[in-house]
Amino acid sequence: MNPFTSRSVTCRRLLGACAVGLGLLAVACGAPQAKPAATPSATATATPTASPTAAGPQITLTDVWARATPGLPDENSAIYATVQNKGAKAERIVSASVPETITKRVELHTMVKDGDMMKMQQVDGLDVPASGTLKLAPGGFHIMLIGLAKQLKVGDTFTVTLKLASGATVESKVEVRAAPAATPMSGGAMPSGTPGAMPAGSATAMPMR
Amino acid sequence: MSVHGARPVHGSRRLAAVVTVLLALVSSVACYRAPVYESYTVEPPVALKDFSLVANDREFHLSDLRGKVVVVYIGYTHCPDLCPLTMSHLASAMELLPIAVRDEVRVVMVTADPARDTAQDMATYVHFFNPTFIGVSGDTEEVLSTLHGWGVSPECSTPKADGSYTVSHPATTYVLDRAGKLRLRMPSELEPEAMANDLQIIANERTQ
Repeated sequence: MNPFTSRSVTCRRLLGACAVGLGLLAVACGAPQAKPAATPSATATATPTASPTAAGPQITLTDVWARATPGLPDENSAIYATVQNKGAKAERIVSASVPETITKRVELHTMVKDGDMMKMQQVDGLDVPASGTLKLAPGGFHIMLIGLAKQLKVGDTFTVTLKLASGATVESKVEVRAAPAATPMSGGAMPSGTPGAMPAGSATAMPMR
Repeated sequence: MSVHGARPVHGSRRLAAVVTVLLALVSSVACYRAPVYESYTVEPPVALKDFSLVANDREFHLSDLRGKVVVVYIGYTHCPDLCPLTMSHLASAMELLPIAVRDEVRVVMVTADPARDTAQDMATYVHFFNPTFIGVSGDTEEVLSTLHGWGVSPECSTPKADGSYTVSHPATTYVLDRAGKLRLRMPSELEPEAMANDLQIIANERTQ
Protein backbone atom coordinates (compact mmCIF):
# COMPACT_ATOMS: atom_id res chain seq x y z
CA MET A 1 0.00 0.00 0.00
CA ASN A 2 2.60 2.51 1.03
CA PRO A 3 4.70 3.39 -2.00
CA PHE A 4 7.17 5.39 0.01
CA THR A 5 8.99 2.63 1.81
CA SER A 6 11.31 2.53 -1.14
CA ARG A 7 14.29 0.26 -0.96
CA SER A 8 16.90 2.96 -1.05
CA VAL A 9 15.41 5.01 1.73
CA THR A 10 14.72 1.98 3.88
CA CYS A 11 18.16 0.57 3.40
CA ARG A 12 19.91 3.85 4.06
CA ARG A 13 18.06 4.15 7.32
CA LEU A 14 19.10 0.67 8.30
CA LEU A 15 22.73 1.51 7.79
CA GLY A 16 22.51 3.99 10.61
CA ALA A 17 20.71 1.58 12.87
CA CYS A 18 23.11 -1.33 12.95
CA ALA A 19 21.65 -2.61 16.21
CA VAL A 20 18.45 -3.49 14.42
CA GLY A 21 20.09 -6.53 12.90
CA LEU A 22 19.56 -8.78 9.98
CA GLY A 23 16.05 -9.80 10.89
CA LEU A 24 14.64 -6.35 10.22
CA LEU A 25 16.83 -6.04 7.17
CA ALA A 26 15.27 -9.13 5.73
CA VAL A 27 11.84 -7.72 6.41
CA ALA A 28 12.66 -4.34 4.90
CA CYS A 29 14.45 -5.52 1.82
CA GLY A 30 12.87 -8.88 1.29
CA ALA A 31 9.39 -7.50 0.76
CA PRO A 32 8.42 -7.70 -2.87
CA GLN A 33 8.12 -4.37 -4.61
CA ALA A 34 4.54 -3.20 -4.69
CA LYS A 35 3.63 -2.82 -8.33
CA PRO A 36 0.89 -0.38 -9.20
CA ALA A 37 -2.37 -1.59 -10.63
CA ALA A 38 -2.52 -2.13 -14.36
CA THR A 39 -4.43 0.58 -16.18
CA PRO A 40 -6.56 3.43 -14.89
CA SER A 41 -9.60 2.03 -16.64
CA ALA A 42 -9.12 -1.27 -14.86
CA THR A 43 -9.72 0.44 -11.54
CA ALA A 44 -13.07 1.81 -12.59
CA THR A 45 -16.23 -0.04 -11.77
CA ALA A 46 -17.55 -2.01 -14.67
CA THR A 47 -21.05 -1.00 -15.58
CA PRO A 48 -22.54 -3.15 -18.30
CA THR A 49 -24.70 -0.81 -20.28
CA ALA A 50 -24.53 -2.05 -23.82
CA SER A 51 -26.81 -4.51 -25.50
CA PRO A 52 -26.06 -6.03 -28.87
CA THR A 53 -28.67 -5.53 -31.53
CA ALA A 54 -31.07 -8.43 -31.77
CA ALA A 55 -29.62 -11.48 -33.52
CA GLY A 56 -26.61 -9.33 -34.39
CA PRO A 57 -23.00 -9.48 -33.34
CA GLN A 58 -22.11 -10.72 -29.89
CA ILE A 59 -20.38 -7.48 -28.94
CA THR A 60 -20.77 -6.03 -25.47
CA LEU A 61 -19.22 -2.89 -24.02
CA THR A 62 -18.39 -2.46 -20.37
CA ASP A 63 -16.65 0.26 -18.37
CA VAL A 64 -17.53 2.84 -21.03
CA TRP A 65 -16.36 6.32 -20.09
CA ALA A 66 -15.19 9.62 -21.53
CA ARG A 67 -12.72 11.95 -19.91
CA ALA A 68 -14.07 15.14 -18.37
CA THR A 69 -12.69 18.32 -19.97
CA PRO A 70 -11.46 21.66 -18.56
CA GLY A 71 -13.93 23.73 -20.59
CA LEU A 72 -11.64 25.36 -23.16
CA PRO A 73 -13.09 26.32 -26.54
CA ASP A 74 -12.86 23.69 -29.29
CA GLU A 75 -11.58 21.02 -26.91
CA ASN A 76 -11.23 17.30 -27.46
CA SER A 77 -11.82 14.21 -25.39
CA ALA A 78 -11.76 10.45 -25.75
CA ILE A 79 -14.01 7.49 -25.04
CA TYR A 80 -12.58 4.35 -23.46
CA ALA A 81 -14.22 0.95 -22.99
CA THR A 82 -13.73 -2.75 -22.74
CA VAL A 83 -15.14 -4.35 -25.89
CA GLN A 84 -15.92 -8.02 -25.60
CA ASN A 85 -16.77 -10.29 -28.49
CA LYS A 86 -18.62 -13.40 -27.36
CA GLY A 87 -19.16 -14.58 -30.91
CA ALA A 88 -17.13 -17.13 -32.84
CA LYS A 89 -16.40 -14.58 -35.57
CA ALA A 90 -13.94 -11.68 -35.34
CA GLU A 91 -15.55 -8.26 -35.55
CA ARG A 92 -14.22 -4.91 -36.71
CA ILE A 93 -15.41 -1.52 -35.49
CA VAL A 94 -15.20 0.83 -38.48
CA SER A 95 -16.66 4.02 -37.03
CA ALA A 96 -18.27 5.56 -34.00
CA SER A 97 -20.73 8.38 -33.47
CA VAL A 98 -22.19 10.38 -30.61
CA PRO A 99 -25.09 12.85 -30.48
CA GLU A 100 -24.41 16.14 -32.25
CA THR A 101 -24.92 17.91 -28.95
CA ILE A 102 -21.58 16.36 -28.00
CA THR A 103 -19.79 16.57 -31.35
CA LYS A 104 -20.16 15.65 -35.01
CA ARG A 105 -16.55 14.66 -35.34
CA VAL A 106 -15.56 11.27 -34.00
CA GLU A 107 -12.49 9.29 -35.04
CA LEU A 108 -10.81 6.03 -34.08
CA HIS A 109 -7.26 6.60 -32.86
CA THR A 110 -4.26 4.99 -31.30
CA MET A 111 -1.00 6.30 -29.86
CA VAL A 112 2.27 5.45 -31.55
CA LYS A 113 5.80 6.03 -30.34
CA ASP A 114 8.10 7.70 -32.81
CA GLY A 115 11.60 7.77 -31.33
CA ASP A 116 11.16 9.57 -28.02
CA MET A 117 7.99 11.26 -29.20
CA MET A 118 4.38 10.11 -28.91
CA LYS A 119 1.82 10.93 -31.52
CA MET A 120 -1.75 10.07 -32.24
CA GLN A 121 -2.63 8.12 -35.32
CA GLN A 122 -6.03 7.68 -36.84
CA VAL A 123 -6.94 4.05 -37.58
CA ASP A 124 -9.42 2.66 -40.12
CA GLY A 125 -10.88 0.17 -37.71
CA LEU A 126 -10.56 -1.58 -34.39
CA ASP A 127 -10.46 -5.37 -34.46
CA VAL A 128 -12.15 -7.40 -31.76
CA PRO A 129 -10.99 -11.02 -31.96
CA ALA A 130 -13.46 -13.91 -31.87
CA SER A 131 -14.20 -14.85 -28.27
CA GLY A 132 -11.84 -12.09 -27.28
CA THR A 133 -11.58 -8.62 -25.81
CA LEU A 134 -10.31 -5.26 -27.06
CA LYS A 135 -9.37 -2.67 -24.49
CA LEU A 136 -9.76 0.99 -25.33
CA ALA A 137 -7.61 2.60 -22.66
CA PRO A 138 -5.64 5.81 -22.06
CA GLY A 139 -2.35 5.74 -23.92
CA GLY A 140 -3.66 3.29 -26.51
CA PHE A 141 -6.72 2.78 -28.68
CA HIS A 142 -9.46 5.33 -28.10
CA ILE A 143 -12.48 6.92 -29.70
CA MET A 144 -11.54 10.56 -30.18
CA LEU A 145 -14.17 13.26 -29.78
CA ILE A 146 -13.04 16.33 -31.71
CA GLY A 147 -14.22 19.91 -31.23
CA LEU A 148 -16.69 19.28 -28.44
CA ALA A 149 -19.92 21.28 -28.65
CA LYS A 150 -19.92 21.49 -24.87
CA GLN A 151 -17.73 20.80 -21.89
CA LEU A 152 -17.91 17.23 -20.62
CA LYS A 153 -18.56 17.29 -16.90
CA VAL A 154 -18.20 14.45 -14.43
CA GLY A 155 -21.47 12.55 -14.20
CA ASP A 156 -22.74 13.57 -17.66
CA THR A 157 -23.91 10.70 -19.80
CA PHE A 158 -24.48 10.26 -23.51
CA THR A 159 -24.74 7.46 -26.05
CA VAL A 160 -22.03 6.16 -28.34
CA THR A 161 -22.90 4.10 -31.40
CA LEU A 162 -20.30 1.79 -32.86
CA LYS A 163 -20.66 0.66 -36.44
CA LEU A 164 -19.21 -2.73 -37.33
CA ALA A 165 -17.81 -3.85 -40.67
CA SER A 166 -20.88 -6.04 -41.12
CA GLY A 167 -23.06 -2.92 -40.97
CA ALA A 168 -24.51 -3.84 -37.59
CA THR A 169 -24.39 -1.27 -34.81
CA VAL A 170 -23.82 -1.47 -31.08
CA GLU A 171 -25.00 1.24 -28.71
CA SER A 172 -23.76 1.98 -25.24
CA LYS A 173 -24.13 4.57 -22.56
CA VAL A 174 -21.00 6.63 -21.88
CA GLU A 175 -20.33 8.07 -18.47
CA VAL A 176 -18.13 11.15 -18.13
CA ARG A 177 -15.49 10.68 -15.46
CA ALA A 178 -12.52 12.58 -14.15
CA ALA A 179 -9.33 10.64 -14.06
CA PRO A 180 -9.48 7.65 -11.76
CA ALA A 181 -9.00 9.01 -8.30
CA ALA A 182 -6.04 7.91 -6.23
CA THR A 183 -6.47 6.99 -2.62
CA PRO A 184 -5.24 10.00 -0.67
CA MET A 185 -2.77 9.15 2.03
CA SER A 186 -2.58 10.93 5.32
CA GLY A 187 -0.01 13.67 4.93
CA GLY A 188 3.05 13.47 7.11
CA ALA A 189 2.37 9.90 8.21
CA MET A 190 5.07 8.57 5.92
CA PRO A 191 8.66 7.93 6.82
CA SER A 192 9.52 10.90 4.67
CA GLY A 193 12.90 11.53 6.22
CA THR A 194 12.31 15.28 6.30
CA PRO A 195 12.99 16.42 9.85
CA GLY A 196 12.71 20.07 8.83
CA ALA A 197 9.23 19.67 7.47
CA MET A 198 7.65 22.67 5.78
CA PRO A 199 4.53 24.16 7.37
CA ALA A 200 1.48 22.36 6.09
CA GLY A 201 -0.38 25.58 5.40
CA SER A 202 2.00 26.55 2.64
CA ALA A 203 1.15 23.49 0.55
CA THR A 204 -1.52 25.21 -1.47
CA ALA A 205 0.31 28.49 -1.93
CA MET A 206 0.70 29.57 -5.53
CA PRO A 207 4.28 29.16 -6.62
CA MET A 208 4.38 32.31 -8.71
CA ARG A 209 4.96 34.81 -5.98
CA MET B 1 39.06 11.02 30.57
CA SER B 2 42.30 9.03 30.43
CA VAL B 3 43.66 7.56 27.26
CA HIS B 4 43.60 4.11 28.79
CA GLY B 5 40.07 4.49 29.96
CA ALA B 6 39.05 5.56 26.49
CA ARG B 7 40.41 2.53 24.70
CA PRO B 8 37.58 0.11 25.41
CA VAL B 9 35.19 2.77 24.15
CA HIS B 10 37.15 3.14 20.95
CA GLY B 11 37.22 -0.62 20.66
CA SER B 12 33.48 -0.97 20.91
CA ARG B 13 33.06 1.92 18.47
CA ARG B 14 35.30 0.13 16.05
CA LEU B 15 33.22 -3.01 16.45
CA ALA B 16 30.10 -0.98 15.81
CA ALA B 17 31.74 0.48 12.72
CA VAL B 18 32.64 -2.99 11.45
CA VAL B 19 29.10 -4.22 12.06
CA THR B 20 27.77 -1.16 10.25
CA VAL B 21 29.97 -1.81 7.25
CA LEU B 22 28.97 -5.47 7.21
CA LEU B 23 25.31 -4.54 7.40
CA ALA B 24 25.86 -1.99 4.66
CA LEU B 25 27.33 -4.67 2.43
CA VAL B 26 24.60 -7.18 3.23
CA SER B 27 21.89 -4.60 2.77
CA SER B 28 23.27 -3.36 -0.53
CA VAL B 29 23.33 -6.93 -1.78
CA ALA B 30 19.89 -7.70 -0.37
CA CYS B 31 18.39 -4.53 -1.81
CA TYR B 32 20.25 -4.58 -5.10
CA ARG B 33 17.61 -6.50 -7.03
CA ALA B 34 15.10 -3.67 -6.74
CA PRO B 35 15.70 -0.49 -8.78
CA VAL B 36 15.73 2.74 -6.84
CA TYR B 37 13.67 4.68 -9.36
CA GLU B 38 10.72 3.60 -11.43
CA SER B 39 11.67 6.24 -14.02
CA TYR B 40 14.61 6.37 -16.40
CA THR B 41 17.57 8.07 -14.78
CA VAL B 42 19.60 10.67 -16.66
CA GLU B 43 23.33 10.02 -16.22
CA PRO B 44 25.07 12.33 -15.78
CA PRO B 45 22.39 14.84 -14.77
CA VAL B 46 22.25 17.80 -17.13
CA ALA B 47 20.90 21.30 -16.63
CA LEU B 48 17.72 22.00 -18.59
CA LYS B 49 18.18 25.29 -20.46
CA ASP B 50 16.26 28.13 -18.84
CA PHE B 51 13.47 29.99 -20.61
CA SER B 52 11.61 33.27 -20.36
CA LEU B 53 7.98 32.55 -21.22
CA VAL B 54 4.54 33.29 -19.75
CA ALA B 55 2.61 31.63 -16.90
CA ASN B 56 -0.37 32.99 -14.98
CA ASP B 57 -0.18 36.29 -16.92
CA ARG B 58 3.40 36.93 -15.88
CA GLU B 59 6.84 36.44 -17.27
CA PHE B 60 8.05 33.12 -16.01
CA HIS B 61 11.45 31.45 -15.99
CA LEU B 62 12.23 27.84 -15.25
CA SER B 63 14.93 29.14 -12.91
CA ASP B 64 12.22 30.83 -10.80
CA LEU B 65 11.64 27.38 -9.32
CA ARG B 66 15.26 26.68 -8.39
CA GLY B 67 15.34 25.04 -4.98
CA LYS B 68 12.23 23.00 -5.70
CA VAL B 69 11.88 19.63 -7.36
CA VAL B 70 10.37 20.51 -10.75
CA VAL B 71 8.33 18.23 -12.99
CA VAL B 72 8.25 19.42 -16.60
CA TYR B 73 5.67 17.99 -18.97
CA ILE B 74 5.48 18.98 -22.63
CA GLY B 75 2.02 18.56 -24.14
CA TYR B 76 -0.92 20.50 -25.57
CA THR B 77 -4.47 21.29 -24.58
CA HIS B 78 -6.10 19.72 -27.66
CA CYS B 79 -4.50 16.38 -26.75
CA PRO B 80 -7.40 14.08 -25.83
CA ASP B 81 -5.55 11.08 -24.49
CA LEU B 82 -1.97 11.10 -23.24
CA CYS B 83 -1.78 14.68 -21.89
CA PRO B 84 -4.85 14.43 -19.65
CA LEU B 85 -3.71 10.96 -18.60
CA THR B 86 -0.30 12.28 -17.57
CA MET B 87 -1.74 15.40 -15.91
CA SER B 88 -4.22 13.36 -13.90
CA HIS B 89 -1.50 10.90 -12.90
CA LEU B 90 0.67 13.80 -11.76
CA ALA B 91 -2.26 15.25 -9.81
CA SER B 92 -2.81 11.86 -8.14
CA ALA B 93 0.90 11.52 -7.44
CA MET B 94 0.88 14.91 -5.69
CA GLU B 95 -2.05 13.76 -3.55
CA LEU B 96 -0.07 10.68 -2.57
CA LEU B 97 2.86 12.74 -1.34
CA PRO B 98 2.99 13.88 2.28
CA ILE B 99 2.11 17.57 2.43
CA ALA B 100 5.61 18.63 3.44
CA VAL B 101 7.07 16.87 0.40
CA ARG B 102 4.27 18.06 -1.90
CA ASP B 103 5.21 21.64 -1.12
CA GLU B 104 8.71 20.93 -2.37
CA VAL B 105 7.47 19.82 -5.80
CA ARG B 106 6.25 22.03 -8.66
CA VAL B 107 4.56 20.71 -11.79
CA VAL B 108 5.02 22.71 -14.99
CA MET B 109 3.37 21.97 -18.33
CA VAL B 110 4.92 23.67 -21.35
CA THR B 111 2.85 23.70 -24.51
CA ALA B 112 4.05 21.77 -27.55
CA ASP B 113 1.46 23.71 -29.58
CA PRO B 114 2.14 27.44 -28.97
CA ALA B 115 0.27 28.40 -32.13
CA ARG B 116 -3.03 27.38 -30.49
CA ASP B 117 -2.35 27.33 -26.75
CA THR B 118 -2.25 30.76 -25.12
CA ALA B 119 -0.80 31.15 -21.65
CA GLN B 120 -4.37 31.58 -20.41
CA ASP B 121 -5.41 28.30 -22.10
CA MET B 122 -2.49 26.57 -20.40
CA ALA B 123 -3.46 27.97 -17.01
CA THR B 124 -7.10 26.87 -17.42
CA TYR B 125 -5.97 23.45 -18.58
CA VAL B 126 -3.51 22.64 -15.81
CA HIS B 127 -5.66 24.15 -13.05
CA PHE B 128 -8.40 21.72 -14.03
CA PHE B 129 -6.12 18.97 -12.74
CA ASN B 130 -4.46 20.77 -9.84
CA PRO B 131 -4.68 24.48 -8.93
CA THR B 132 -0.97 24.60 -8.10
CA PHE B 133 0.17 23.33 -11.50
CA ILE B 134 1.84 25.91 -13.74
CA GLY B 135 0.84 26.15 -17.41
CA VAL B 136 3.40 27.79 -19.71
CA SER B 137 3.11 29.24 -23.20
CA GLY B 138 4.22 32.45 -24.89
CA ASP B 139 5.43 33.70 -28.21
CA THR B 140 5.36 30.79 -30.68
CA GLU B 141 8.97 31.22 -31.77
CA GLU B 142 10.21 31.53 -28.21
CA VAL B 143 8.35 28.44 -27.05
CA LEU B 144 9.62 26.39 -29.98
CA SER B 145 13.15 27.70 -29.49
CA THR B 146 12.99 26.61 -25.84
CA LEU B 147 11.80 23.14 -26.81
CA HIS B 148 14.43 22.84 -29.53
CA GLY B 149 17.04 23.77 -26.92
CA TRP B 150 15.86 20.75 -24.95
CA GLY B 151 16.13 18.53 -28.01
CA VAL B 152 12.37 18.39 -28.50
CA SER B 153 10.84 19.06 -31.92
CA PRO B 154 7.05 18.77 -31.86
CA GLU B 155 5.52 18.00 -35.22
CA CYS B 156 2.01 18.96 -36.24
CA SER B 157 -0.05 16.61 -38.38
CA THR B 158 -1.46 17.90 -41.67
CA PRO B 159 -4.55 19.91 -40.73
CA LYS B 160 -7.89 18.41 -41.73
CA ALA B 161 -10.58 20.31 -43.62
CA ASP B 162 -11.91 21.67 -40.32
CA GLY B 163 -8.44 22.89 -39.33
CA SER B 164 -7.91 20.33 -36.59
CA TYR B 165 -4.49 18.78 -36.19
CA THR B 166 -2.55 16.77 -33.64
CA VAL B 167 0.95 17.39 -32.30
CA SER B 168 3.68 14.94 -31.38
CA HIS B 169 5.22 15.41 -27.97
CA PRO B 170 7.78 13.65 -25.73
CA ALA B 171 6.91 10.24 -24.34
CA THR B 172 8.53 11.10 -21.03
CA THR B 173 8.05 13.70 -18.31
CA TYR B 174 11.16 15.41 -16.94
CA VAL B 175 12.05 15.59 -13.26
CA LEU B 176 14.57 18.25 -12.22
CA ASP B 177 16.25 18.26 -8.85
CA ARG B 178 16.56 21.29 -6.60
CA ALA B 179 19.68 22.41 -8.46
CA GLY B 180 17.76 22.48 -11.74
CA LYS B 181 19.46 19.36 -13.12
CA LEU B 182 17.47 16.91 -15.21
CA ARG B 183 17.58 13.69 -13.20
CA LEU B 184 14.68 11.49 -14.28
CA ARG B 185 12.49 10.92 -17.28
CA MET B 186 9.16 9.42 -16.25
CA PRO B 187 7.50 7.27 -18.93
CA SER B 188 3.98 8.39 -19.77
CA GLU B 189 2.52 5.07 -18.67
CA LEU B 190 3.98 5.37 -15.16
CA GLU B 191 1.34 5.04 -12.46
CA PRO B 192 0.84 7.76 -9.80
CA GLU B 193 2.28 5.54 -7.06
CA ALA B 194 5.51 5.12 -8.99
CA MET B 195 5.67 8.83 -9.81
CA ALA B 196 5.16 9.70 -6.14
CA ASN B 197 7.85 7.22 -5.14
CA ASP B 198 10.40 8.81 -7.45
CA LEU B 199 9.47 12.39 -6.61
CA GLN B 200 9.78 11.62 -2.92
CA ILE B 201 13.27 10.21 -3.36
CA ILE B 202 14.44 13.31 -5.25
CA ALA B 203 12.69 15.66 -2.81
CA ASN B 204 14.33 13.98 0.19
CA GLU B 205 17.86 14.36 -1.15
CA ARG B 206 18.64 17.66 0.58
CA THR B 207 17.65 16.46 4.00
CA GLN B 208 19.68 13.26 4.04
